[in-house]
Amino acid sequence: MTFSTLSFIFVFLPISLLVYHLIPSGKSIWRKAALLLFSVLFYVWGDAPSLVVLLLSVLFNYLSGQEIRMLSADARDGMRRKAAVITAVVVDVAVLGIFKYSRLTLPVGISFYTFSALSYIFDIYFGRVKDDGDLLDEMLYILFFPKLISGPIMQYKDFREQLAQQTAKNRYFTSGMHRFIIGLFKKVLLADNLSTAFHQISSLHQMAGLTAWLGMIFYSLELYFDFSGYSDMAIGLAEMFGFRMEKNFDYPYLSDGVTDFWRRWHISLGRWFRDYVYIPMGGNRCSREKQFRNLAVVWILTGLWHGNTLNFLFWGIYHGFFVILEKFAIGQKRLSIPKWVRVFLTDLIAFIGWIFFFTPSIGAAFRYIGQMFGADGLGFANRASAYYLTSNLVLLIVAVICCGPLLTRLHDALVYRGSKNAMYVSVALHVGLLLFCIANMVGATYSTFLYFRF
Amino acid sequence: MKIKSMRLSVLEIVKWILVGLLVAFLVHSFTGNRISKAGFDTVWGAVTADADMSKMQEGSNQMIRRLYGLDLAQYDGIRLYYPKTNMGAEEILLVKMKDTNDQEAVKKAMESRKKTQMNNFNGYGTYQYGMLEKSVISIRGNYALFASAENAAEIVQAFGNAL
Repeated sequence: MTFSTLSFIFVFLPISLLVYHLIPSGKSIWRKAALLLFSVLFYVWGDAPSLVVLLLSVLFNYLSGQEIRMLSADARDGMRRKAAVITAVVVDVAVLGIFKYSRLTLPVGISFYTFSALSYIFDIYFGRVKDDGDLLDEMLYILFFPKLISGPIMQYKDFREQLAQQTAKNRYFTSGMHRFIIGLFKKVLLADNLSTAFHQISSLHQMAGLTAWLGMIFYSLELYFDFSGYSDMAIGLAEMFGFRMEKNFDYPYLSDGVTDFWRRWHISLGRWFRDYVYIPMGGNRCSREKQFRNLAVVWILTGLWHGNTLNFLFWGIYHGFFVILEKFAIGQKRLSIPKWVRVFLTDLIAFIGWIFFFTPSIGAAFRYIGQMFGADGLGFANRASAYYLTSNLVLLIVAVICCGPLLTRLHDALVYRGSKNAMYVSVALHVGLLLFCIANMVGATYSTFLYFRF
Repeated sequence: MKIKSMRLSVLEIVKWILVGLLVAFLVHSFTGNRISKAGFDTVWGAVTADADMSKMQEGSNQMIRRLYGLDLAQYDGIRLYYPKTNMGAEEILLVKMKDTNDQEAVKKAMESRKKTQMNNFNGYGTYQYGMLEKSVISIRGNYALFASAENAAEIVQAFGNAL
């Protein structure tokens, strides 16, 4: 099941919210159990056969966590404790790797829940959480349905802190609804229409330069609105159940450098690699050579995490190259370039990188890049380019506007600084937007989220 | 101390039993979800051998996109035969995937089409509705089939044999 389906919005969500909030907040164990049950149902609804892998993984990691907890870090138990961590990491990564790199059906969400499970193991090992190991807490942490399938990858210590507070914060409910509706808008009205525009172009065998540029731009915008829309819906849902999650996107296409871009795109994945790979390897506090190695490892892993083809490995190395270039060669010198130029260049690098996402091979990606520069011999623009541009111009303009904070500022001005009437206007706008999204969903063909394939 | 040691041993044993179960599941998945090397035309031939194609017409790429939302470029092969008239419910879609990770997306697309057709005939097209109810979606490794026909079960059987 996905968030942008009528069955989720009209059946699953209302029932789960109603049951959850009807249980008194003092009875936190029942609330957790209800949430866990709904999370399992949510997963089964989408991918029942893979539930076995998910549950085995959850139980295995719980037992590994218990073993690590029971062993002290002193000399006598230290080695055994380390061995327990290594075993857990090896098993988790091996299962993920086998599914990802064989041609087996990839269990839904495995990349995301494996990283959650590893966070659980690492946070216990590094002593970031002090608890006795409650199976319900651990299961809920990994299976919590808003984040189960496509993140954001919440770290165990952050989730545990909120669970420890026992009571869900109902005051997040309205902000959660706002977040969910905005996410739905991004997915249904922007990403799905951008997808149609992109697919019109991607099915062409030959194209003029401008058409290829438009295809790249449509896909880049689609990917952003699809994934950030999903993340917004996930964060909004978590808030409706009283949990806070950090934002996963922060206007990434306004970044003025590749390093900055990665502070704003899929933030939770970047933070995971920073906290569990980069910093334990020495981070910035080591020689330049080691820093270089650490960054290279992180970017290769980031590429591999995304997929099982050479495209993704190349894409990871491509981004790693620019991050390393910015860090070691360009540094502060880039500030001498006007900001709009920096933003433009960063978007260009990011957009070209996405070509490796939508093409089936590295050769096809370079062929596409060639088409952007007229390799098909159809010139820079022709009638088809003009057609694709004009027929999608309004969508393109709306999408570009939505890449920035303008709409958020408008919302904040209405809700936080406006009069009571402005608040009513805001509510009416939200209801209108929700109805408009639903109207679009009713007649639409099923459309999955792009990041589900990872 | 002894209790702690015993508990650790039990934990260790249960942990490895779980790993064993994971391995068993993986082995089962490998054997049950095999990639077929059969050619697309061979499978299509087997699937349509027993089907009454006279009530169907071949769907263009655009029709496949419109009815199923599938992008042809993503697959090794797709062929659709859909009803000649609005009152028909006979339909066959065969998809050969490049990547079995696409199974879920293809399955959802087929389910969505089936649901739309069932909604279309619900309440007045009893015969068509019954046929759609009996229609089969079969995902086998890198092949997927949607068959809505009087003899859908036979078609699916032929599909399985051809892989």
